[in-house]
Amino acid sequence: MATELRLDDLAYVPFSERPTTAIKTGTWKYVEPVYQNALPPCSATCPAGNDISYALLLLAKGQALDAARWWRRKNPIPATLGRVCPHPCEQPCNRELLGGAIAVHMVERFLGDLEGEVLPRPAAATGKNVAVVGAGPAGLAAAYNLRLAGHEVHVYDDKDAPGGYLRTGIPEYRLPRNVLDREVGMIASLGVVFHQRLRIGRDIALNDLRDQHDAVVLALGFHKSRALRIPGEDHPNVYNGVKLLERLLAGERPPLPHRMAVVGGGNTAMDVARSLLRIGVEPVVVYRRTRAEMPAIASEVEDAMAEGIPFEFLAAPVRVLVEGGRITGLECQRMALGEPDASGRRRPVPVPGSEFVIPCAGVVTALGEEVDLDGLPEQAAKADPRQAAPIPGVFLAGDMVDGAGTVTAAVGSGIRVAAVVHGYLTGEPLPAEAPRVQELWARDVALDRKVEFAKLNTAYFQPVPRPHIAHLSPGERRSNFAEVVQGWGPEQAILEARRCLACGTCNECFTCFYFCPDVAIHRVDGGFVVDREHCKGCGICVQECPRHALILREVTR
Amino acid sequence: MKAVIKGNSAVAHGVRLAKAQVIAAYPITPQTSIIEDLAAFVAKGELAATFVKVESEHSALAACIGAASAGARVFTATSAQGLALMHELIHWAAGARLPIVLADVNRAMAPGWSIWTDQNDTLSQRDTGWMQVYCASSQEVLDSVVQAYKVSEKVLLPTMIVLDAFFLSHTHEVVDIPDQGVVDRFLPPLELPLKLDVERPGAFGNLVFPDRYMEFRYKIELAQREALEVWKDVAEEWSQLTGRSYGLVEGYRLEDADTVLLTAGTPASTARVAVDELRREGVPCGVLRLRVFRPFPAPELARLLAGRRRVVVLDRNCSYGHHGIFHQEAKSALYALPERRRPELLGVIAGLGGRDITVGDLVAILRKAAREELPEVSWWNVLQPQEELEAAVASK
Repeated sequence: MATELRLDDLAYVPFSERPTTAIKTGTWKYVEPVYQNALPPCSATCPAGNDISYALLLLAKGQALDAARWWRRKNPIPATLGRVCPHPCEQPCNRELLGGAIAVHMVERFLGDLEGEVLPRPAAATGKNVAVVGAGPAGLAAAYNLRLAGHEVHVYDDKDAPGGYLRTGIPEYRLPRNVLDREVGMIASLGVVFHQRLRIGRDIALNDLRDQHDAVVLALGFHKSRALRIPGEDHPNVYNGVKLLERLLAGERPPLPHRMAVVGGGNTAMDVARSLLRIGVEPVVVYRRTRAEMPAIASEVEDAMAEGIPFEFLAAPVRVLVEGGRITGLECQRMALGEPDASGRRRPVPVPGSEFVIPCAGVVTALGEEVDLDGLPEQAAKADPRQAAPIPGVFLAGDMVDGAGTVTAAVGSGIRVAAVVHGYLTGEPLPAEAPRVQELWARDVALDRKVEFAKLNTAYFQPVPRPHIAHLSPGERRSNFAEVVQGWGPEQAILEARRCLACGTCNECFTCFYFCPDVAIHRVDGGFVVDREHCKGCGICVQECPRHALILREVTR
Repeated sequence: MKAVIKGNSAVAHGVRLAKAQVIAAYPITPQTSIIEDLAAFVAKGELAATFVKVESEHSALAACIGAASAGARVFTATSAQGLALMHELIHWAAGARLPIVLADVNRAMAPGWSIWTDQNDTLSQRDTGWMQVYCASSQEVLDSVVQAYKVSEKVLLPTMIVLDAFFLSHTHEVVDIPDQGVVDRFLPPLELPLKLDVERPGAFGNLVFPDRYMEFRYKIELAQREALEVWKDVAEEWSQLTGRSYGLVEGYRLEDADTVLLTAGTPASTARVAVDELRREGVPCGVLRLRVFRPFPAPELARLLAGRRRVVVLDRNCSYGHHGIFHQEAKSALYALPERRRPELLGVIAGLGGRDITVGDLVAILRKAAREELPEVSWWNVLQPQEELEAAVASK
């Protein structure tokens, strides 16, 4: 070879001062990693769609106020929900297998209670004007989100103060009034106008509201109790549970018999029984199925039992026994569980000849509630899949859409209806159905990608036990309305946030960055980017990502 | 300081004294206690190294290559399947001219599964550009590890320190552990001429076209040849510091021996006892132990074996289809001699899979050789058809 180059001119090893970035190895790939956050099981399950993992991620970094503001982006009452929600989000929590589910409700409560700059700012005024009827959780959520979207919002409610069932149906030992008052006040501080003691159909007409506003949201809730339909029900010591609870919570102390049967297995029954206990009445809960079928929140049943309230299961009332004008007992028939019914729970079947008497001097019915349409046209309560009534400009939220549900479901319904109404007010064509609430939290999340436990890289996670949640002891709480569940301070909340696996949510752990064999992942503000010119599509980053926040996508050229 | 330690501990002490900065290894019997000892040194703060836990031997050597590329003194250890798994990177380490030291505890390859010793694992890496040193005592193991860093860092080639499973790795004997000051005088900190440097971005191991590739490989060959001298120089320097000297090969009672047993590893120690016994019977025999196998000390072998009547090569390995590997290698070295000076060369394969090679075995082999009863190539003490044995003898 004709060359002047000598052997000694060559380095001892192939080395080039020109970096290999000139070689576009990215052209070799047929798949490439894409940063794409996925929907964690908690948010997927949350009826309000709370963006739990992202808020916990902020809290884990010590940004508590940012986390609180994030939580309030759509949800106006986290302090309330942290206390009253049965937290279905904790059921599918992937942390369960590694020490126990994250106590999301305790973190939500901590963030909700946080004072400071925690409210988002409303968008610029749109000049549109919405009436929300009902100041329960659905109405509050609808009002809050419509106000944040820039609309003027007026809430019409028939009670003395906003809150709906939160105020009239949930005892203070679960939800202290100052917590509710504060959150209602925060909504009002955004400019939502509350008009109290006005009942639609009686004090104001739906058509007048339609005339005065660009849209109307009906969120009346279910307040009308179902009847027992048994002989003796008309005795004055047979009380409607919802109404009795409302009076007790308002501070009234009517003269009540010493021993009362509370009929029902839902939350109202638990709230009535536990409230009666606290004012010196001896309640006994009568339910026609077993504990397993009770619709009440499991922890409420647990707390009621811990307080010593007796339960009579598999018992269906057949008559109220009255002697000499006084109730002497509730005659019941023993039930057995048969085949599952439409609700999926096993149907109670009467056992012939099994009648027995529960001695008591009063009865409270808590058999479930329905909407009270008094003064409203029937069709006003008929929701289509986009939460619109068949009356132009009228929309529905809460129990009226979903049937009797949790406070969280009502909030979710309010968030959804606000989105539909916002579209309606801004001239967008109505969607075929109301959007999924998770879509509305508007973080870039692939909603159709689930993060099951198997998708996590559990090599990165150590088991850490779920922390203790302190309750007042039954002795401390039986005779007063003090809050039973004790809250957490910032240290506990942050530790719990750090226990969160951040399923599907990039928390900038750098695992992908360190593992990329081609140095094709670059750090950028707020995350990472794949250098597509040099990524060969090996997929190691996707395999290693502890939390499934990366996917491999086929490259199309 | 003198201590009674096993061969694996001797490796670890050598690495500690050499102040390795990065250790990446994956455990495998019989190597495990080497890296356990090293992990303990690191944990106790007796060795300021980063111990990288990895999921395979391939990753272990890859981590060493990365760290060495950045200029760190590195160490890894393995055996058998682990070394085989490293194979791709064994080539890379040499091609990248990284002065990595690796201890391999000779273990037989599977299947059938064996944790016991033979040399096929390391000899399968013969042509990768690595240097190989076969040790016969714990003291030699420690000394060779320290020396290996010095030689590797001088010629920029990696070294494999080889010790027999159990016979050496797990046998305790007295070892003189040098003071750190002695080793520090002998082995200065590593300064690589070219290394990864964020201040000087560059590409290592890049594509080399046919007009240059051979030159880089030629440089490996030149480095190997240079290393033959460097091993001698380093051994001399070490000898002055410690009083212990090692050659490329080690002879025993060679002076008037007409029959020489050539082997590597611990069988050479056993052979010394056998030779003593035969010498008492009047059989003039000796032992030549091959210590540094790569670079191959062909001139030494030719010089020391020229004019002997016969050389028996004991291979604890086999290149299937062409007999023992040391046998072939010795043959190639002796071919340089004029025909009249070339000894008769006999090859015996023994001790595979850890089968013991006893003094009695070696006495019998040498006695048969002296009586002209040893076939040119044979497997010692293996079940085989009698007629095959007779035919082999008759063929002589």
